[in-house]
Amino acid sequence: MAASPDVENRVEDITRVRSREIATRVLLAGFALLILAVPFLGASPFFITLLTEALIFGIWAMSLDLLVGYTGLVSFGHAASFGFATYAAGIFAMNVSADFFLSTMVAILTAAAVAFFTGLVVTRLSGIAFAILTLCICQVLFQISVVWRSFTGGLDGLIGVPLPTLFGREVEPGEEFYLLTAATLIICYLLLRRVVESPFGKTLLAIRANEDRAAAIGIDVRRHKLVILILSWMTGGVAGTLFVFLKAGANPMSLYWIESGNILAITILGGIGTLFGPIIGAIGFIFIRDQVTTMYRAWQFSFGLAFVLAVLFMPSGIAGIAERIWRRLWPARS
Amino acid sequence: MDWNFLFVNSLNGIIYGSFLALTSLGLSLVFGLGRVVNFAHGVLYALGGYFFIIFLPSLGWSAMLFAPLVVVPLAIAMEWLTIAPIRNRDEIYTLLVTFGLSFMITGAIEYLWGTETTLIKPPVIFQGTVDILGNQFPVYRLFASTLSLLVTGLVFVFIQFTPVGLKIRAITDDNEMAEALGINTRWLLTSIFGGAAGFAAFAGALGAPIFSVEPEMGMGIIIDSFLAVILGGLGHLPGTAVGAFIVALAKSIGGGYIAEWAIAVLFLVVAAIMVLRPKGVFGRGRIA
Amino acid sequence: MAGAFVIEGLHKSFGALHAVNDVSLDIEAGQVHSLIGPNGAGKTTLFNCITGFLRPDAGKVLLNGNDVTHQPSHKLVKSGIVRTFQITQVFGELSARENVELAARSREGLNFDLFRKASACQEAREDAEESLEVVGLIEKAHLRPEELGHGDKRVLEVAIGLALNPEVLLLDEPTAGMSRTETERISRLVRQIADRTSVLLVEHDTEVVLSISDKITVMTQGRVIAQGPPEQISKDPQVQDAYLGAVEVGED
Repeated sequence: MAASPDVENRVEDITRVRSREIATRVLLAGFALLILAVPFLGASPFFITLLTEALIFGIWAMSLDLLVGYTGLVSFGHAASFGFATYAAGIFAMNVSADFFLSTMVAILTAAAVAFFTGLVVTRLSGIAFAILTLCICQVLFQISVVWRSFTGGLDGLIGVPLPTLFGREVEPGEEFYLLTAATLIICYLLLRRVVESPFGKTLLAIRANEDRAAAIGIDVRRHKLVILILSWMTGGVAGTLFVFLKAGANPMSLYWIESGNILAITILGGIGTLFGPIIGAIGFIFIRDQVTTMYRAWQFSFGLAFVLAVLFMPSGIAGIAERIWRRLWPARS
Repeated sequence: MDWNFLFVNSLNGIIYGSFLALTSLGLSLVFGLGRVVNFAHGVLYALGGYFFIIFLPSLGWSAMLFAPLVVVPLAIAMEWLTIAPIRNRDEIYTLLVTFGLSFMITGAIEYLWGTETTLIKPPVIFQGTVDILGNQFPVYRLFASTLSLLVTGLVFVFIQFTPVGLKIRAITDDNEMAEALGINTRWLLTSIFGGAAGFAAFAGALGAPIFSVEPEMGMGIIIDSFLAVILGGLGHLPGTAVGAFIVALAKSIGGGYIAEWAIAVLFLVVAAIMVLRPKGVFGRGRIA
Repeated sequence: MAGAFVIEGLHKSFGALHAVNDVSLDIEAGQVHSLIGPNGAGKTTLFNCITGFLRPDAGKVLLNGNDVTHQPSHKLVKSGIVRTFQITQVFGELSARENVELAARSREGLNFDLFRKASACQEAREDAEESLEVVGLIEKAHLRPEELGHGDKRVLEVAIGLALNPEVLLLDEPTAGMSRTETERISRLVRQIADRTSVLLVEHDTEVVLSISDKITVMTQGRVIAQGPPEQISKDPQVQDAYLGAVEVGED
């Protein structure tokens, strides 16, 4: 079959694509500025705290997007990346130093180490088996956090984590901590954007499409899966560090498998494979959950329903729909 | 070591195991037949418990049979609306959809019937206790787990010795071949999905006087069922039943602290099985 | 660069079935070597054994005298053994150019490069363009696989293979499901690329095989029943019985 005559018409106009790309960047930069400006727009302390939590979940969801969206690995154990980091950062802050950079470093390294050992096993699998295996391993880590009382405080968790310090100065809860979180989110986004656009990031797409085919062009599939798992958990570790400082404590329930399910649903609803979508998903989730539950008892039902509908009818999530509208606004085909 | 303590806990483990066997069996069957990983199997168990306590005041103990009768059509509707449409997509979608469904249904239960735990007394004729090696053991526990085992046994017999059971085994072995032989897998999957839901709901109702009824009960049992099914080998029914008892015993022996460790070890063992089985428990020979 | 490729006494069985039974091949550098045989002869199993997707039970695979048996697929690619697939499996979301660039970057060892943009890898870009040029797809490089015709898709597979700079390229039924003209185009392409890589070709179309091969190996039921240049194979009575004759009768 010869190429159809209208092929030329279907080709995207390069300059238009350029202009859309620039417009997208402007939009994202605007969003970043807006996030940073929130405290100066007269938002209430309650709103600030809620948004802080939402942005932390945003970082966490973004880290899961690396696995689910970019590599096609549906993890049901992503709570472990977050929960383990809350303990690592919390225990370090309580006993050694509450310096934000040092605590984050400790959490990231712990997450990386656990991801490495987890990865040695889980990278052998994909699909459903990967999902169930990550769930099992997450539960092992959950059980350990419950049983290892002397270290983790058992079911009570950690209580009394001090405020973080930045360059020797205490970061005040509220607006200051919010700005720290927002800045961290933006940095994480930019770094991960680089990762997914790097040659390494493109090989992940190949693995997602077809592991055998990826191996046949010389990609070491298992090692790539291991590296992305470690990067993903490290990013989840950053989220965990912020969370332990926000809540001034850690709780084993943040390692429980249902948390893994929550963050997975947030990520998919937000729109996988976009990095940006999961942030939107997280903000939506936290606000709707905390604002609406008091008035609207059917929250969990609605969340489940939204997730089911998303999986059935719009696997690309909110970001997918937004992108479609955006493309309509900035058409690149003549 | 307190041998009597161990004995009582083991007995409780066996009782839980007999319920777990019944729920795991359905999970295993549905996966074997349609490669559907039904995360929502646990909430169907929970619905069984809830419909039972709702019907109990008006219907009495026959509610135990009516509860599954309500759950079966619900499950079939669920299968038609959410699982059938995505059968041609990657298997992972069935896991995601049924996970969403279990969120939904747990949410619906909390919305409609509240978050409290409901305890109910067993029927009068089973309210006594029996003496087992000096321990006073509730009669109902023994009765209910015996009944549960009996039903599990019937499922086995059905699968092993009836023509429909033969079809089910044929499809589990080789789906494409079975379809080539003209077996309508679509219809069979829907019926088995409904049947499995019925047994799960029955387990939920039968267990209500023992384990009580609360919204999260489905989320708890589904994980144990997964463990049992993987331990026993997916789609392998006798193995699944054995797996159920291993899981239940691990969770109950020694009580609190030791059980927490036992569960951690159990998850590790299951993880090891998944990795070491040549093609993985869920694996398929997928070459080029 | 074309390399010499030798398979010695390869065995693979599944239970009682000997899918590949004592198969030996010898491909000289720059040759087109074809593997033919009826369905179920074990050609694809042999392919999978050679390319690391299955573990052979016995036997050796040698590239330029080096033993590469049991190497995992991705390492074989680095060594210079590259395959295409029977079912077209290019990455659907990427354009033809991006598909080939992915392979070119892989060859250049950039798979773990996290610190630059994939689109800024100039050398890979040029290599990809060169491959696309060779196979004649350069004008359609911006199209996604779904926008390409079936023939173009198979040609894209070859371009991906070439971008990996193979010493031996294993083509699994590149003309399957193709029209006459497209088949001719692929045949010409295979002949043309033989100056840069040795080719092992699994093919059903006997006419193609007889016209472009330097050497032919005939398999039935896991065994090699004949091996030699096309003239010799086409005259071999055993082969005509087992395979060629049947096909020709079937086609007429």
